[in-house]
Amino acid sequence: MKNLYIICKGMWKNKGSIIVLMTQIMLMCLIFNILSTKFAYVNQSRKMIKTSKLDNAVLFMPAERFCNLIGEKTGNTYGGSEDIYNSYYEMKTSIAGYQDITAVGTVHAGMGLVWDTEQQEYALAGFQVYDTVLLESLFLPLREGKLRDLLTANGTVPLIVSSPLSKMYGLGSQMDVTIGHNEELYKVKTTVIGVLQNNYCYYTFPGGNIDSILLSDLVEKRISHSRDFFCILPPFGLDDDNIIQFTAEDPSFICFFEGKGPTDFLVDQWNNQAETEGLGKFITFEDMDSRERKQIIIGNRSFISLGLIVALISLIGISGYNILQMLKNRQEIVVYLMHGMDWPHLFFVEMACNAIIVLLPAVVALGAVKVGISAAENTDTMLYGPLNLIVTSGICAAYILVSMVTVLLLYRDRSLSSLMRRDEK
Amino acid sequence: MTYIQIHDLHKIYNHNTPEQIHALKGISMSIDKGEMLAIMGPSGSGKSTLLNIIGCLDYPTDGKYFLDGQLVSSLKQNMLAKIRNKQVGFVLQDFGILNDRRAIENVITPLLFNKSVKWSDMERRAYKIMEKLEISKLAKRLTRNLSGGEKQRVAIARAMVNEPEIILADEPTGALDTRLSDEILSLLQKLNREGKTVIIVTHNPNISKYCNRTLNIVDGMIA
Repeated sequence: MKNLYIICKGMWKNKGSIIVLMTQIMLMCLIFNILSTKFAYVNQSRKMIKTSKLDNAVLFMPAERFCNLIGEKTGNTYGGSEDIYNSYYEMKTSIAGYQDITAVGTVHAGMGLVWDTEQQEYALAGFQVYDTVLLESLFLPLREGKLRDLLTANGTVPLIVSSPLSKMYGLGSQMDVTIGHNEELYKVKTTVIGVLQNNYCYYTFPGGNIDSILLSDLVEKRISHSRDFFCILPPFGLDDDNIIQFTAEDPSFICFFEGKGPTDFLVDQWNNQAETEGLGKFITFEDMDSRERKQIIIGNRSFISLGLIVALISLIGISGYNILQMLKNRQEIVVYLMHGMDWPHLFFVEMACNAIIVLLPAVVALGAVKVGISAAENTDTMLYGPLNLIVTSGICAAYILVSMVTVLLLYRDRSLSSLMRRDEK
Repeated sequence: MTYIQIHDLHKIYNHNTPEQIHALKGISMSIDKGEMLAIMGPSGSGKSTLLNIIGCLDYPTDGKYFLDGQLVSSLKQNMLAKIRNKQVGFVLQDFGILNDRRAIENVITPLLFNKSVKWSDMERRAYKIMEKLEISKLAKRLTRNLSGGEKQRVAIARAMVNEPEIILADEPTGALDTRLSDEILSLLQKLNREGKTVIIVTHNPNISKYCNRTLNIVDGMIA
């Protein structure tokens, strides 16, 4: 209580400069937290690549002519152009025959799913794997069940649910979901075969826009609008109200090869061959990852610059505040020291003031970003998570370190009488 | 009974630099418990330096200083801080009263660093000493609105609130007129009669009439 009194009295005297400083720190924390959410979003795919058996795989991006219409193939009928599909299939077979390539695997992109027609809640089916090769290679953090069971058709559609949803629908339970098909809504019976550890993220891998070779365009990750209601389904469709699993392919696919890690030479060799044949381009996951990161930096250049400027100003500001604090409160400090405060206690009080000035706006900024992301309708480029805590902690630590150094420098001459003489001058 | 004993005390500022100042040059003296002593001398004679060392605000460059039998000249800073808190009360000329605070907030200052006094007891103790010095009615007033005499009484109350053995006063009447000076000195004399050791640093010869003994310092030495 005594310390609180001393701290509050000291801070109240400099309330104007403290408010300015806190505002700067909050602004800076907001900027870097928003940037963190963007990087955290990218990190999901990197984490998945690392945890999956994809160290002996690269992604293949087909040439544009194969990408215009790759739709559903159900039985012998195909939703898009038969010619394109056939040439695509030939291309895929050709790529599978490249030197050292052992297998190719394809994932279907996400598909819309009406969860409850009355509430109009919906989730995107996020991970639709139908390729055995890929399924065995990818790692999905399941809390219960087996990913492989997605391939088992047992009269119902196998389903992986999120952790919150599993409280209502546990492993083995069945539920009806409504899907849109030919502008009609149908009830589909599903069986829960797995529960995800991660309760709010899911991946479509790869998918999305294929016009660009950036990672964001290849590895699409989305947070569902309603976090508690998402699921993972294999591709399926309806034919006269019967559920059928269908083949639906994203144009890009993953190529597996012998050995660990493709050499640049090998990738170059494949690329030269694919380019000569007009088939497309190979790209490593590391390359995609670095392109994605670079893209975030390029896309947020002015935002990052603003953050750095505010950081610089506020770092100078916190040193300035401590100097000002010493000048304005010197009489008070001398009186305290004269009446029994020791130097460690003074240091503690000064650092406590600095900690409040730094931590309060940092926590507010962190909270604002979390609430903002939760409330935002479209957050498919941002993800609040541990990176925000790490960045905020790092910023706070840097500021407290700077203020600690400033305070130590200011009071390096621990002579009370010289402090008194300085005041008399 | 000797309470303060000083032997061959030296204080050199900016030691071993071209700006070196030899403020005290081998001072030796002793002060008895319950004594009221005036230390006199012209400006720059070293009297405030001596008071700072006696009040444990500064270290001597050389020599020994015993307070109540304890060699304090070699104690660490945190121990000196404890001595300042428990055993010494300071009354300064125009320094030390926090003008943006109420009188009672000034008086409780030493109690903030006295671990044996609880937060809840601080105000009661401050009021007690303020009543004794007849300034309890000033307790809630901002000290910037008090007169010079009232401020100095607040300073004395603050010096007394931890019930120290010694009161060190550095030019306590420097900013006051004759009538108020007499009031303040009478108050210090009263405290001395109650058993407190009072040491007053001044260049005003009239103060010596209130004291048992006067010590003259000239150019860092006892004259």
